[in-house]
Amino acid sequence: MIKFLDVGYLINCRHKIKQEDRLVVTSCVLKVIRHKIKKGSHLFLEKFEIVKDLVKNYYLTISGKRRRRSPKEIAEEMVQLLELKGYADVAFLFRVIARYYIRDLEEHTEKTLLRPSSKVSPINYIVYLRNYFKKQKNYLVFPDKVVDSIRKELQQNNIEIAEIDDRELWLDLDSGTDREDRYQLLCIEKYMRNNGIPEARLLTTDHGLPDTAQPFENIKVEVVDCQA
Amino acid sequence: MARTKLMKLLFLIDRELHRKFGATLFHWKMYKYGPFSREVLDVLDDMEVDGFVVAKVTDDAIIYELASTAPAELLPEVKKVADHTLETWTRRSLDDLLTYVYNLEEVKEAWLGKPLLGMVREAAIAVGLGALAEEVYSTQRVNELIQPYRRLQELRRRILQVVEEKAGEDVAEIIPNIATAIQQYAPEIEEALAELKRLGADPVKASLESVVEEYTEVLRLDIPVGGGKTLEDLLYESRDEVLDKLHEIMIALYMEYVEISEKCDHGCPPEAAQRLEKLATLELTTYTIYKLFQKQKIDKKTAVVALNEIVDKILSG
Repeated sequence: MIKFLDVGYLINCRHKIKQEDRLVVTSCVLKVIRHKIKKGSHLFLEKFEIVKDLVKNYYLTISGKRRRRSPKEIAEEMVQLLELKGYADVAFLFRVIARYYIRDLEEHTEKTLLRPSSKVSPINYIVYLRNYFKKQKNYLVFPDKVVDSIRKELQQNNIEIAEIDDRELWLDLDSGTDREDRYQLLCIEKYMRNNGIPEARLLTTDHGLPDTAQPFENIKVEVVDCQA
Repeated sequence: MARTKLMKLLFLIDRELHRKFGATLFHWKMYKYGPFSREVLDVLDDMEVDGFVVAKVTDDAIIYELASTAPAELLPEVKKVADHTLETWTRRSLDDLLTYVYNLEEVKEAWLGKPLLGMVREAAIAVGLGALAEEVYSTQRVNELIQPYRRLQELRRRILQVVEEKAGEDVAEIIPNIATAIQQYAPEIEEALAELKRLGADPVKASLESVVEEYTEVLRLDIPVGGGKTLEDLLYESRDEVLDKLHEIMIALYMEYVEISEKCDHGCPPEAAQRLEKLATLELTTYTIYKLFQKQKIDKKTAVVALNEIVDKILSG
């Protein structure tokens, strides 16, 4: 059976994605990721002083060189830290950075921050990342760079990207906390209708999604818990 | 507008940009008829080919007319300076303009072929690059055993002293003061640079290589800062905004220097040198602000705002 992946599954369960079934990611999912990254990077810049203080406090008790980690490890720790403090949007940004290879960022980090050593002090990493976003207004193009990198990885893993004409779907959604979930479901429904697919599964990490998906009878939601 | 008038107006615009921001749009040399830039003519040729300007040859001049489709995208700072210069000079005669330009100190004293404005570029790079790391965290230049480098360090300290003494509460005046102070010490800096060249070094490239190493060293954060602590300990423990801003500036500078060094494999191209000059000026400015804050000549808020602006300037490309 055809299985669709939602944003949460795509980001959180990257390590679990296996090519057993026909796996499909709609362009709407990528659009939601782009939207969330844009929001996350803006908030990161806006709340930078708070984020920096979180980093300072968290690593203060660890002494000297024991603080040093790879950027991916720091990003992963930042996710936990930011979620705990209620900064979910910024945490999403760090989760994507931790789990995906965003080509431009990785290459830039490699030749600058990681030039002297593969492990860095978290305070250096967080300031570096802020400067990277600010550099020539990089934050404006970063969301597109993220989506390009994820698209590339999906293609390499033979995961189908279904391009959906979503013009009326996004605009027709009224606001609400499940807005993005309903948008993704509407995109899947449209794709199924256009391609004569009677039934499909949607893999998600969101325990609330089955409720949101109730009106979509031909989409069976499968909640998977796969936090790394 | 006649080509001669256009050339001199662009020189005045660049002179003001150089005074305010330590950077120019074009490279200038002293020619028989005053300040001249080959690049201005190249740009005009390109604009003519692309249909943005129309060149008309009269009996005694080449006149450029702007086509209606001409692009007009200028940085706000450049536009402000350009507008001011044009307001002052457009309606005045060419003779007035030439008299003014020929009587400028740096034009009067220049010999044929002498680079103008840009002469300060190499000097600024030589004294400015690494100023923050060396003066605040006492890192050492890779080449510091070579006498001309030591001489450049001495000159830098004198320049910084002059700038610091001149500085009032208005931090916006620091950059113009640095440009003036470098100009003042230009002959001595040039002497040290000439000595370096005699030793076979490319001063700009050597300064860049050295500064990348210096910031690599500082950003390891294991420099002792007293009390048995390292810079890293201090950054985590302290809530000192000025210290944090210096750290942000150093990372921003490091990012830029590494990027520029990739373009300077076989000597730095003019746009890379221009960028380095701007960064060198910003390093000297940062140090001056830091010193003024330490000596309580400016308050913490003023220092933090000014240092924040410097981060933005460094990263604006």
